[in-house]
Amino acid sequence: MKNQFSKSVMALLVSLLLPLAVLLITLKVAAYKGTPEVVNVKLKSEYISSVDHSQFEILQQEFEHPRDVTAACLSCHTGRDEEVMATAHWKWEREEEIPGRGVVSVGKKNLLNNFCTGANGNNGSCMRCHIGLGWKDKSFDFADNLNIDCLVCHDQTDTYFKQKGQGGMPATPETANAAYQVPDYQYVSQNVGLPKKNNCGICHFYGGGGNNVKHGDLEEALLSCSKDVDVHMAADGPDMACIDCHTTERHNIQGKLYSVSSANHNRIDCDQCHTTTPHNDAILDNHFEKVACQTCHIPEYAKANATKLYWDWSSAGLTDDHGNGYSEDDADGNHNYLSIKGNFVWDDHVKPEYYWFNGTADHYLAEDTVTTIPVKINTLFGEYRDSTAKIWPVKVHRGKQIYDTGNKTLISLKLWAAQKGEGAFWKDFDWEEAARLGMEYNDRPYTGNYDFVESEVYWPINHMVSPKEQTLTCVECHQRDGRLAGLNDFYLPGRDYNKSVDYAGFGLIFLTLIGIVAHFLGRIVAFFKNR
Amino acid sequence: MKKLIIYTACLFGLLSCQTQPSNLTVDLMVENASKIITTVSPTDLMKIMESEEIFNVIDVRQNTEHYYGFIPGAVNIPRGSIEFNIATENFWETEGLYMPTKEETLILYCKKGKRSALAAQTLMQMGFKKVLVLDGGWKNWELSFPDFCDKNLEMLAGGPAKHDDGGGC
Repeated sequence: MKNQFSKSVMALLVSLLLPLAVLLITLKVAAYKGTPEVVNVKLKSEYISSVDHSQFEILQQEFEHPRDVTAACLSCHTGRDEEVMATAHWKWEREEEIPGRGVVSVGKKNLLNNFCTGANGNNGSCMRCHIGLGWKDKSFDFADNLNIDCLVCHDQTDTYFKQKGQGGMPATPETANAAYQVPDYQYVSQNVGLPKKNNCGICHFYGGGGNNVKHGDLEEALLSCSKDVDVHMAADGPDMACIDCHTTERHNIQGKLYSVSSANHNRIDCDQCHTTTPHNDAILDNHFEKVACQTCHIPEYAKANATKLYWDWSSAGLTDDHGNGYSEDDADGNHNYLSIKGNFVWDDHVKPEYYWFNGTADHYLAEDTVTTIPVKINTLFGEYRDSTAKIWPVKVHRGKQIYDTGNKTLISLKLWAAQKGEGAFWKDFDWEEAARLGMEYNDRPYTGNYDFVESEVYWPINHMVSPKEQTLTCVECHQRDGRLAGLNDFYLPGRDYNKSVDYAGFGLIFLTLIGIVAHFLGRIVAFFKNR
Repeated sequence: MKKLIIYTACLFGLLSCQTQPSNLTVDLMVENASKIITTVSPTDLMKIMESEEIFNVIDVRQNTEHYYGFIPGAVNIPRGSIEFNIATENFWETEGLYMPTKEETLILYCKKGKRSALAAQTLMQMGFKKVLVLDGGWKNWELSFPDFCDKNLEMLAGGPAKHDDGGGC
């Protein structure tokens, strides 16, 4: 009798403890997290030049013109001009094959966008970010190597600037003012080196007419930020410079801008340093097949200053009682109305949108017609079934921009001029004239009829990588209304479900529980009966 | 047996005396509030605004944020004073509106949805039956309906002109 009782107690304990043990082991296994690989790379930004440029006699002269500095540079750095002149930084276009279009030449030189619509024709202002000296109009000689501006990328003194409104030229004695003085060429040329963050940032941080307007993940805060903003560029972290990732060979800088590039080459990837299995955790590492690193590691962008998310040109041109343009701010101090540009919506700490992207893109080309609304300024290719595509975080900039209602084409505007009366919209607020002159400069047909059309442009996010503690948790995506709610061409565990399967599953669980309870009761009854 | 009853009673006593956690972070507070509130998308809010339903849209941001841009028709009650003003006749009279009953729909928004979640939790504790929070707040509205936004230009310019109606000399 006693023996039977202890047997029953043992059976009861085993039946309780065994499932408990299985449960605990399962939880332990599920909670396992691998230790991420430690990256150990020599940073290029830590490179110290072995040459003291101030000792060179040729750099001790009183330079009168920046072209003279270029000539001095090239007298030692022979052949570098050919390298520079082969780059997109110089040509502002490159030949690339776009699926369905063949080989086309695309770049800032000829593409339209939904920020300031396009650079060509607004040279005085936009070409300030060209690495040449004085691309003021069509007469700029791209074959003249002395037009290369070596200093804008290699200055280490932070005193060399291209002057606003001068098409990429620094101030001259005639144009100098309180904001822009004539650079001390001798001093600057004697202090040159590998590009620092601000050499790149002077253009790449301020695209679209202000800090962080365009990218959302590239802005002046990266010059000196905390790890919360960017783990790579953090002043209290590795303090990496742009060139540490954007490695360069023969002046060809790796890592193209996805919004103006089409082909999937010359890119840079996280796995260059971090490998394709950096987590040391099989489940997380498996995500690499279909999820870009950026998706989990950049949970939000514009972490320091706001970025523009919406730009409505149709409201531009209002003036005050005196016919002058004016501005209004939003609650955070960002302009949300400018007479010269229209209405904007800014935001900070923005959650990205998510799209499939295989590294290739299409673009709205000047000869394209408007067939769908909103007009897609660029199209990111990729879908679940594409083995090369991954889920990417993307900033989408939406807006309304001017288009030719007759030809159904987006209009290249003449926005900038030095003074009133030259037909530039920013001076004269005349849509008719700005559209006519802009199209004329770009050799594009214009019927004279215009309206405004919705458009959107896609900017894959790459910078502002968060510390590992702030990366996305599983449930941010693996839930019904999670971040990937918009990507519906595949089955995502935790998000997608089938009612029949769910009911069948719950039914089986319910039946199992009934079985367990019935079995338990049977045992109890049997125990007392046998007693 | 007696001891067992006493111990059990003590255990229940301890459990029932548990106080609210006192060291919550703001993120946890918002997370807790989010579990009990109901959110509404900008599109659904627009449908409510176009319907016959009696509702009040309440902007719980500070007035210095409100003036720069708000949903047309929204009443500005900063979160710091919402408990005091929501059921005060004088406040609603000043706004030129009837004081909402506890059965009416209240739609709250702030910049991004965190402050309004906390404010909604408070209003629900006060007995308001249908409190909704605009998902993503003002920023989401601004991006969803950029042509349906208002500004208080008068207040941004320093407020209404001050008149000296004192008369005399």
